[in-house]
Amino acid sequence: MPVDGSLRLILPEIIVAGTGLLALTAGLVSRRSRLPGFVSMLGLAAAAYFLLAEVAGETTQIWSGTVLVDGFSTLFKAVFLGIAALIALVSFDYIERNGLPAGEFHLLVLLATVGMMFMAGSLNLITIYIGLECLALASYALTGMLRGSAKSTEASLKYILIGAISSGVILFGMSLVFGVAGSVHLAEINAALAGGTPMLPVLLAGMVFLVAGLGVKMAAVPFHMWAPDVYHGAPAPVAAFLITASEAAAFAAALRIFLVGLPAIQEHWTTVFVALAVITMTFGNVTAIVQTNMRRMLAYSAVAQAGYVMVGLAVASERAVSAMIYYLIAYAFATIGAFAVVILLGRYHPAEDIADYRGLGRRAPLLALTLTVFMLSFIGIPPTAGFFGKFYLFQSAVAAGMPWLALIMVLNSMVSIPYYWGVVQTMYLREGETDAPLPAPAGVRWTAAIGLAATLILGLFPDQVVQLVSAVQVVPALLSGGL
Amino acid sequence: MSWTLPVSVIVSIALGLAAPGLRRLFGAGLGRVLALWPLALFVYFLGLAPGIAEGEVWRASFRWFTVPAGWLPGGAGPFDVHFGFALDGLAFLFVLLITGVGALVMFYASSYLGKDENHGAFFAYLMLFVGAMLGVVLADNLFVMYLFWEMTSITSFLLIGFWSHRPESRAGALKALLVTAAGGLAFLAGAALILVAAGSVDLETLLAGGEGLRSSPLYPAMLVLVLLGAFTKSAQAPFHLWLPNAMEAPTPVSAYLHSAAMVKAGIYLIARMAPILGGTALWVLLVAGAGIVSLVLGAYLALRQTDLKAILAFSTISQLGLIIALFGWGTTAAVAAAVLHVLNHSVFKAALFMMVGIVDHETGTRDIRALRGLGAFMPVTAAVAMVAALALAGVPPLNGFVSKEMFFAASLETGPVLAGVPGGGVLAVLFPALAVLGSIFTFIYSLRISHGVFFGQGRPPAAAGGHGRPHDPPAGMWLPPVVLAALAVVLGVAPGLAEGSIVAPAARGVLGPVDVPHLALWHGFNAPLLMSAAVVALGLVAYARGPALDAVIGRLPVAPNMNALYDGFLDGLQKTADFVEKRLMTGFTRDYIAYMLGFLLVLLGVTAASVGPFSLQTDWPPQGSLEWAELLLAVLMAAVALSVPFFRSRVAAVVSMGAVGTGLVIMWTLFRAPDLALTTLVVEPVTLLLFLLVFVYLPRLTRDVFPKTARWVNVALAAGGGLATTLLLLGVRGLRADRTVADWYIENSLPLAHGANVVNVILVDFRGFDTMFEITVLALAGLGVYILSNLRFKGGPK
Amino acid sequence: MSIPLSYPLMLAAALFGIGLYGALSQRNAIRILMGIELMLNAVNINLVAFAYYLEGAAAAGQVFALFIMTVSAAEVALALAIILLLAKREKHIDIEQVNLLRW
Repeated sequence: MPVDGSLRLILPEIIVAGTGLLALTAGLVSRRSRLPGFVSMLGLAAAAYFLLAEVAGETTQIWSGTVLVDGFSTLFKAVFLGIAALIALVSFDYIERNGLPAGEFHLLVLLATVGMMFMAGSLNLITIYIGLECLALASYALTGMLRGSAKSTEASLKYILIGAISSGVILFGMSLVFGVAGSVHLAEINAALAGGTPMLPVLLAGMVFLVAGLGVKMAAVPFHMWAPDVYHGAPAPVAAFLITASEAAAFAAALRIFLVGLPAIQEHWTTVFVALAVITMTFGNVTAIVQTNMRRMLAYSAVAQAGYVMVGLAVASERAVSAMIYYLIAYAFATIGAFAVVILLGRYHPAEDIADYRGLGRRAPLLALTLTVFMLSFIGIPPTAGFFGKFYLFQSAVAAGMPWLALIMVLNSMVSIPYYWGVVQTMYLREGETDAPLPAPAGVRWTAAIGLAATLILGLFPDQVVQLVSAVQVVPALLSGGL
Repeated sequence: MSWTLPVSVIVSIALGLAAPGLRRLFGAGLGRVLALWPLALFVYFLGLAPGIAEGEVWRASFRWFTVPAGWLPGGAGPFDVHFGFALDGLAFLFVLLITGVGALVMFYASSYLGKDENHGAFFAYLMLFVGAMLGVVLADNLFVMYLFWEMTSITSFLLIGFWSHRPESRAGALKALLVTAAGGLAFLAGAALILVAAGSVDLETLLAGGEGLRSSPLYPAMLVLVLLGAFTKSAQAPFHLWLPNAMEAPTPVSAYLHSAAMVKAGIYLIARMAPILGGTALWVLLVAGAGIVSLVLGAYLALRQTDLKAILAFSTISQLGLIIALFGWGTTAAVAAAVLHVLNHSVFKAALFMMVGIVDHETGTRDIRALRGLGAFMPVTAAVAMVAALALAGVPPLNGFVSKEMFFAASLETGPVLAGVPGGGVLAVLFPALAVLGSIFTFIYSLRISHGVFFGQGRPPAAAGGHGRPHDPPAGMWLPPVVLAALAVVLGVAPGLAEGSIVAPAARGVLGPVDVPHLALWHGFNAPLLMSAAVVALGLVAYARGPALDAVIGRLPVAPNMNALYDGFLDGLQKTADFVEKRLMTGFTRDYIAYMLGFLLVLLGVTAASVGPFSLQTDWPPQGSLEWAELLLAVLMAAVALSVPFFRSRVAAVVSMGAVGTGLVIMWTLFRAPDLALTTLVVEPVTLLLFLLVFVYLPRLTRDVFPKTARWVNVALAAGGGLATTLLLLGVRGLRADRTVADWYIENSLPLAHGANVVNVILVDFRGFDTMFEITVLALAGLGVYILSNLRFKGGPK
Repeated sequence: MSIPLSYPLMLAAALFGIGLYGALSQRNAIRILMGIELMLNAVNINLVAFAYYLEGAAAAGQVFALFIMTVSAAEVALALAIILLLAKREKHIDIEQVNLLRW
């Protein structure tokens, strides 16, 4: 390896991985303590510091094109780091209560984060694949971590079987694209296809396999089958992590693969993604309506939200990508915040039924109000972040000449009102069996508070973040000038 | 720049948030204390009247967010969206109603609510609602308006569902929210289309560019979407379904939401959009059509009710229809009548609702069949009821008469407006006829709720509470409706009082700077007066023959409504969801895999079809020769692989896997990939060994069969997948041998990395990073195995 | 050597299909894994065959295959651990009986 000063460009990743080992050590030294969680958060903060201080603003490719540092990857990495930190914060109490091995838990979360960072930070199919597997293997293990719970094991088994098949499908697609374009580097694939697409049927087959395989990771209907079960069965913080970060990483990889590597056949994958987006949001919203379990409702809601995000992938303009990132950020905060409340309720009502939220408006007025704001954000009602997320996606669809797609989004939002609002109704209009106040552990409170603050700030003052996401380019500028 | 506008909104919201805390301070008197705030606002805004009458517009605006360049078609932008407030004549009218009626309602509610009810929550919701309503009418761009619009939906949900222990309250609250919030989203979509077409959502800018909007190809869509928002909010047919159920709210809430506030938001939106989107044939048809239909339908349905509150609910639908029809016609006279009726309706309808609250409170019933002769026991209430109901009926010299006359007059002058409308000739006759018909119905039910209840023959029932005979309530409850009833008289006798300061500026807010017709009780003998006379005469006759009328109406069909649709929609959604879910999310991994692969095949097929007729470009029979040994190898590998799923014995299956692996090793050598061959030689046995090891611990599966259909599906899916890919892969030929990075590797591996084996060099040098990363993955897998396996199992959850 | 490219690709497609069938038709979780292994083998054949014919890109394809092989071995190991966990508690590894989570 030609050694130069490029190591600092992946310093954040190295810090995260190192932090993982530290957290593991911390867990071994003092079992049951909260030490690993604090180590993890400190490490993530350090990584974020280096990312923003040292790496941000750079656009360069290092190590024979295996790692790319640009605005897109930096923004996604920052999002992943933030989510991982919030997950660490929210899981203090959960880990203790369920007797999970803290060091291992945090190590797995951090390694999954490293995997995601490489998924967003490379144009090389091999690196993207390894990043994806890194994330996937950690997720499988995290999902099955509640060894006493049959649901957890089942979720983990389903996840790994379907995940492994999806890996096979993605790889089959990659192999076909490689065969046609003669390279595993997306920019070179793009260059090879720019002059015309030889062997179009083969290339399209590769594309379909890629869409299907990545569709599994993005939880796009009908490749979402694993998602509700896994989000339901996994430990609650892990579910929040998968819904937010893992999905965002899948979208990051998909954006790079399709927008950087395969713009030559854009008309074909656009059609597929439009169909998937419509099916996904509609299916997710419709099936969420009948859920009586809070977690399962959130799981189907996650599927629906993935459908909205996919609108950006279908539109595939620079603005749509910005809107997608905005949406993913907005959604992540609201989801993790909502899961904080779910985790708290799960402490007292392990069944996690929506009916358990009766009377929450009295038992925990602040948390109930917070959850209400998150639900509003999911629907897309101001003054919450979800409003701008939907608005920008909507706008990008209309701007790209697909007003009907925007209209379907709106109709879907209408369909989603009953089940999101059902939770609010349960909290405020239904009498609980008890009025006993619910004391919340600090980690849960802080997570909910951060989620609330972010949701409202992004909903009232979106400017800063909009400028940020608008500056992002999926196709890095350096590619136009050659490698 | 006027900072008082945002402050009035923000303080209302802040007071709302603080109300539960203030409860501790003021106890059951909280409502009266809080009522001082809208009262203060009312007085303050009233003081602005002279300036407003001069045409002043108060503004306060802060940059909210910037829509970056490129968000709009054609790459327009960047442009700023302001968090802006503006107070013009139109907003002024609504602000006075919201604050004035708001103060009275809070005062009234303070006495209405029992001592042990949750005053803190109630007035919190109510203040939040006041803030939201003020926000809607003061907003100077569509986004800000939408923000507060949805906030009114949410707070009204909480208000309607305030008595949450009753299932009807909850259902009514939910219905109101679902319908109005969905309508709100439609409004937002319309606003977004307006933004696309006009490049702005500022009302000021839009007013200047209305022409361009109306000729935009998106115009029909944006109009329909915006109107959906307004109609759902104002409970216009066919979206009136939520309003009757919303009567489950405590009566003060109804008095506010359904007279001066919530439902008026829809009216406000239509009035605001009239100069921007109005005046087209489509506008006239949709707006005037929905309005007049609601007028007649609402009044007719009110006749079928026996519950006082239900009658008032349908009456609201009907009266709002009247106003909306006027905005649909859009002539100067019509708009003047509309804004006047907005004012009048709020006054008498709020008084009526408060009267119903008193009656209900005193007698324990709201059924007009049981309520008789109350006038003797509660004279003040009776007086209020008579004045307000006659104003509603349009009897002189009350305020309702003035606006109803103007309504009739406007209905006769729709000719020019309807000129370009298909079927305009018929409509020009139909409109006045339906106006009279609706007014007759209105007249009848107005008498029923006033004369019938207070002066009808019979004994009034005693209150369930058991405090003897019904009597007038304490001053806290009768004072507010008396104020309103007095206002109804004053505005009837001297409508000129409101003309210069309120009605004319409001009309100019819609019409622009024009002369607004003079308001007067007496317009001389003319056609509208004749229509009024006909209404009174026919109404009196019909009222006198009440039982006969009921018999006729009883035989008429119930007007179609959207309740069945609403229920059907929710029900259908539920059923569809259930069906889809049970069918797809079976919980069986095999089903999941089957569905996913099935759809993958469909995608392959659809994509292939979308390419159109393509030749597979096969190079069949392939060029080049195949040694028989190579062919044998391939066939053997396929055959052995095929045996894996079919072997009964697990060990045999593992051995087959090993055979496939061996085949792979031979293939790698054929393809000159010695490194790969060596790796396979190492990795493959380890994997197989793992399988064998695990078998030791695992129970044996005796039978491995599925139902027959499932088996065929499996075969079909797998065969389809294999076949489709085979076919597609046959299209591979004439591979490009472009110079790529790989050449660079080959050229540079010796000089740069000092290695001769390219793959090795790539692994450890050029792709050293990936290799390192891969090792991380391997370690990670080991860690996962370690955590999940039994090494340190410490029991389940505590 | 002059094996036409179509042949290895067809073999790969066949293996992929068989692997799919294996993943679909088995109730035994371990046998499903075997099916998945076959699918991944098919991918590797594709990659190596393509690499062989894409004169310039030989190394990239082989390297990719190498990574897949090792990573998938890791995946199998993890899957086996999960299956063991299931077997330990439920006394079976029949995925048709694993459906607590549904609807």
